[in-house]
Amino acid sequence: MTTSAVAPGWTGEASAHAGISVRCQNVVHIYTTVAGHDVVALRGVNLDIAPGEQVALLGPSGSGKSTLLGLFGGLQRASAGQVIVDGVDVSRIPEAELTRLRAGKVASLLQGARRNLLTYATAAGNVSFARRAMPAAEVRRLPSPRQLLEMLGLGELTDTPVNAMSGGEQQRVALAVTVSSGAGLLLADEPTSQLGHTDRDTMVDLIQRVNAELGTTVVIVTHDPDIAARIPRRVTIRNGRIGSEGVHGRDYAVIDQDGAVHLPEDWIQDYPPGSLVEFEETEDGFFVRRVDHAPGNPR
Amino acid sequence: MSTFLAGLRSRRWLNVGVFLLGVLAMVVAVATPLYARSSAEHLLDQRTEQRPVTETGLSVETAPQSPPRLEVDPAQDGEGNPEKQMVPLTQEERDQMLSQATDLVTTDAANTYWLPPTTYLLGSGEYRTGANSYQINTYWRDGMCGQADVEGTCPSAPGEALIDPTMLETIGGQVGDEITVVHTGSGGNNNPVVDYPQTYTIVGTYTIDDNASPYWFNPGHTGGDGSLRPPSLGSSTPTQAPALLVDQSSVTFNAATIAGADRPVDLDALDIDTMDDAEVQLATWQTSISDQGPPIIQPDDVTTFETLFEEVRAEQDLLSRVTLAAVVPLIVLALLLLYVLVASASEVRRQEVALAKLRGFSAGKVVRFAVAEPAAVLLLTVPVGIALAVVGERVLTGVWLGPTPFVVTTQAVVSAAVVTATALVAAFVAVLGVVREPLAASLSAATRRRGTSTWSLLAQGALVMLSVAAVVQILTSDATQSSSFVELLAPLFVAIGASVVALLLIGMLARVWMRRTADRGGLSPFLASRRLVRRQDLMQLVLPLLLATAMAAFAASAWKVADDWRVSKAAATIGASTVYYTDTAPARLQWVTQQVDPEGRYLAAAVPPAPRTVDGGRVALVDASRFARVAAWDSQWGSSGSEVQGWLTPPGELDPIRFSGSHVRVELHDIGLHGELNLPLELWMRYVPDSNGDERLATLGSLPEKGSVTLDGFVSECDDGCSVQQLYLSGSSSSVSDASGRVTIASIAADGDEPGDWRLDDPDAWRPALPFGDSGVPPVSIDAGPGGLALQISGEPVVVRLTTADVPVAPPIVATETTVLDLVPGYTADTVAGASVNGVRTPMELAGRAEALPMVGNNGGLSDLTAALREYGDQATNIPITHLMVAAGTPPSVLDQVRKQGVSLTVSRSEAEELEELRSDAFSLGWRVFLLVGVLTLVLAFLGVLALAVVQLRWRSYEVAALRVVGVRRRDLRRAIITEYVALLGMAVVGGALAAVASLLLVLPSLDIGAIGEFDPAVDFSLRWAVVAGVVAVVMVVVLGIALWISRRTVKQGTPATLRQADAR
Repeated sequence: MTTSAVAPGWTGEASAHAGISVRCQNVVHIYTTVAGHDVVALRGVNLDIAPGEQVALLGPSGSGKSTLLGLFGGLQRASAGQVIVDGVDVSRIPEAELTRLRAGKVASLLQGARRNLLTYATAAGNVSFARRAMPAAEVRRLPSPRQLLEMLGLGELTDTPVNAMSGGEQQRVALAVTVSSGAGLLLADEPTSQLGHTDRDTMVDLIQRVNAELGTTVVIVTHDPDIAARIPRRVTIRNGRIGSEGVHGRDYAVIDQDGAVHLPEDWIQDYPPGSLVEFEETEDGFFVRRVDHAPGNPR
Repeated sequence: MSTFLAGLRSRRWLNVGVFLLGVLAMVVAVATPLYARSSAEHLLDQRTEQRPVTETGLSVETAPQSPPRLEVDPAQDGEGNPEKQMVPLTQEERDQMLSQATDLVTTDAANTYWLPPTTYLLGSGEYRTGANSYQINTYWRDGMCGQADVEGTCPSAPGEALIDPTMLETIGGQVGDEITVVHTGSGGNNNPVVDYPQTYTIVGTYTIDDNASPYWFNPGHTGGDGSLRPPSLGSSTPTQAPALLVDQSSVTFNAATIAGADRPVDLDALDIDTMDDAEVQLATWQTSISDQGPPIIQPDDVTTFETLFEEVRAEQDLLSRVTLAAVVPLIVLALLLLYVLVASASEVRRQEVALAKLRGFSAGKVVRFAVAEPAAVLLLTVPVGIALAVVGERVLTGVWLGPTPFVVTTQAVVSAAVVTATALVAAFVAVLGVVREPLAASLSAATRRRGTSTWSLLAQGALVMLSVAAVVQILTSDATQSSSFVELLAPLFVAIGASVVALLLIGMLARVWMRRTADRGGLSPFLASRRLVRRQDLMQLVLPLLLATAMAAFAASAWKVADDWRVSKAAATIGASTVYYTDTAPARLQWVTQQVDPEGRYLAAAVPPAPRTVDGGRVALVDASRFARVAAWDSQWGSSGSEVQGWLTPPGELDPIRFSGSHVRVELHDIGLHGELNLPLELWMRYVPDSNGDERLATLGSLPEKGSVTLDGFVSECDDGCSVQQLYLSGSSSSVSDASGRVTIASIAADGDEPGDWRLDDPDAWRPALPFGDSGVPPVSIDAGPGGLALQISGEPVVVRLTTADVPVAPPIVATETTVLDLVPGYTADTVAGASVNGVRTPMELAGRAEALPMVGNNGGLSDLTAALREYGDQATNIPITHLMVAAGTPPSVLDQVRKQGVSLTVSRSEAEELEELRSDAFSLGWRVFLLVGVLTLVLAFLGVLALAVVQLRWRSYEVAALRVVGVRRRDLRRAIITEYVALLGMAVVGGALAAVASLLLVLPSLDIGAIGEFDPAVDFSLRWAVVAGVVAVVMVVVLGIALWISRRTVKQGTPATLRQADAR
């Protein structure tokens, strides 16, 4: 499957909600383990995502990127701070309102295609299922499941049960199902994991097409640098904090509210924890210099 | 809809499991009340049929409307004092009588619940042969030749008759002969009673299978003894000969002919719902005929349904309670399993529910989405379950009870509604756990073990408290036996209580086990114990399996206890495989049995205890020499028939004096008697002819007050030999005498070939015979010597009896354990007050005890008939009913020979008939349902275990795959799964068995297991270990089978590929 899978006739009419903005202010999230211990997953995250923007969340396992995505989608509520989606703090709104948000504005694509689908149902059946929570009037404004799948180049899979599809097909159908409600924010967790190169590229193309055609804001969690390289904005999370951002091929460190700055990934091994640096202000900004030991310090 | 159907299809096995459980619950819930209703209908029919037809049917009789009419015989007219003869009834008069009777039983009230009337004409007369006269009916009944087995032709003309074949053989006649019946009637003023003979030509013979059947209605119209035995000694009632069946035109005697019509109750029309109306209709009909004066003959006894219907209603009520109590555990279990299965299904659908939430389904929509599938499956079970319940109930009822009307009862409808609603609630509660889970938790791959909630702890505590309270209430209840609903449910309470305790114990034991296996022991036990501690999925099966095992073991054991008791009761009530009730004298009957069956393999004579006696006064007399082979014996009674026979047999051989001839000559010397009443004394002898066994009494002559005398008495039927029972010295006409003094019997001899060895010189040969006088002291002392038998008579007013000493003065008695026996002073320490013929109290030697005995049940004793007849034979003439005990497998020819000896064998009862009747009572039917439900409970539990095993296959294979990846061998994994199953479910089974044992020991003895009469054998409530062990073995084998199968399947599926697939998901 290639990028031509996106039908040229697919227009913004399929989207009920144009791109939605997301804003995080000092977001903290704490998990309680089975043993009863608290684990801090996010330690004061500040992030703004503009409507229609494409953002890739990167970071090592356990850094908190999937947690952040969950907070955007209202799957969990932040322990502290604000998660404002389309102007609404989703950590504070009632469950019913959150449910309505999930039914229309925000669409989550979970990791693993089958988790997003009724595996015994057909592709069309899954689309219908995904729209069941929407008001009938809104559904009527959307293309029919068959039309939608054809628009996404999945027409031949319309009546195929998910169980009978390949992994790549399942993932594309999962994306189609996820965006079928015309959401303004697509949250995709590792949408290309377990896919081959061709399927991976097709999937990214599809996501970008959705973004381009519908103006849907896209937030993708990924480990794959190749995928990240194709997303205009990359946000790296480390140890529960926004570590750096890459915009249009350039990487930037992000100063958090405490004034802390994460070193670029490549430098970390040269600056092990406890290393001393000193800042020197220059005309262009700061100059950071490594200090072997501070004056008066025997190290 | 297609997505919904696809979902159903994708989880088809799970849904099939839910469907089967739902269907089973529905079948039981609906079929049980239907069966209870059918059983009640069956009981109504049975109880009605058990009543004599005359008590439930309608009948009226009418006599000729005009007084007896006489006319002068035209042949003698004008010749002085001519004889008058009865004017025969005309056809018109007969028709009028029949029509009147018919009209009276065909009122509107009578037409609903009674079969169409049958009319009859009945005349009564005498049949005279030799010196004997017998009562005989001449009988015409509409359609009689079609209802009897006729050989010959049906009477169709005046003077033709069918005769009973035995009677024809007895009188030595044949078809074509004539037989005369003498009617007796008024002969006018000067001759008040005149015979009017009427002669019939025998045109054939007839046999009636059952003259108490609805068609023949009144057995008194046809019954009689075809052997024409002479009336018993002392009886004033002439023997009834079998009726002659005649043509209607032959019934012409106008003085005493009766026309009647009768209508047996219509069992098809009478049912539980119409009982009240039938009672009203009966009363209405009775009112309608009550003002009918002569010639209508009003019945002596008023027919009433009151007691019958009361009995049926009581049994119906009991049956409802027992069946409901039986079915509740099964429904509870079905719903529990349903809950477990639906909860498992919900776990399987957890991802889908999470997806629904993720897609923004509102809370209501999520619930509807989650519940729709199980609800649809459960709703589908309703019509299928009801249909199967109806079919099953009809089949079961047909097999067990025979045809019964099908009635949809309110209980069945309510039961179906309750089960449907409860199943839906159970399904709703089961899915609620998944629905209420936070979205993030639902989306995570891992399932968190939920902690025990306060509510759950409270519920468990309440269940245990309820169980304890129910059992304590039963144990402290004053009532010995009861069938209250709470008590019937007590086994369920005990099982539930045990289940809660078992769950707590299993949790603790599993942790201990894991700690032990972690330190040492094989890998498989460690894996099994670790899984038990960490995963609680199998724990869900503990409660259902324990409950099922407990209920099945309890039901099977209780049914066995109840059935054993019924077998025991039938054996005790009847006393032998078959017993014929006859009016033949005991001595004669015993003689017949000894003649026909000299080896004592098939027949024994017996005399039941005298009515209204208890304890030592309640003694049945049996021919001890053949007791073990012929009498019934139940192993629950302890000992054995042979042992009891040994106890019953008097010590030493009974050796009566025998003689032959027609006269007995007695020389009496040294007579010195004086008294104020009834002198002179008479000497009597009681003896039994060898030729017929009938006891005879001969007067040998009177004694002078002083001196010597030789008496010569006539003895009948002793040419071939007779045996002496006793010698009496009495006042005139065998009355008591106050004579005192002495007399010596110098010699006695008969005039036949066998004069007899009278043992007059043997000091140990003779003794005073019982009964003694008021003093209790023997009225005579005996001193035997060369001069003869010197008697010293005390003078106490009494009949002085002498008997040979081979008959023990205190014959052995075998009593039941609960029989209260009074010691008799002056005898040995074991001599107690027993009873002989007609309940006369007499000393007996207590030879042994048993839990129960044939003929007396749990109260009274047995003694030897032969010894009793020798001691008290003269009392035996008053015995109305004698029993002929017949062993199982007795050839019909043996009974034919008995009949040929003139013993009437028309009324009988077999142990099998008694048992069948006992097994069809409400208690038995209820306990049978209990047993069936117990079996179904087990089946249900097996289905549940299997279904859950299949449901768990997926994630178990994932676990197995993970372990295989780290190098655990397949064999160890299989062993671990089997060990886990056997350890957990084995404990549930053992717990169930213990709960059953507790219920059997604590609860069962307080439950009604049958209608226990005053003298019925006690119920043996001892544990039926074999039954409990059998149930446990079956459950363990099935559980092991499931464990083996699931272990193979799991390990086969649990490959590394499984992990990849799971990851892909």
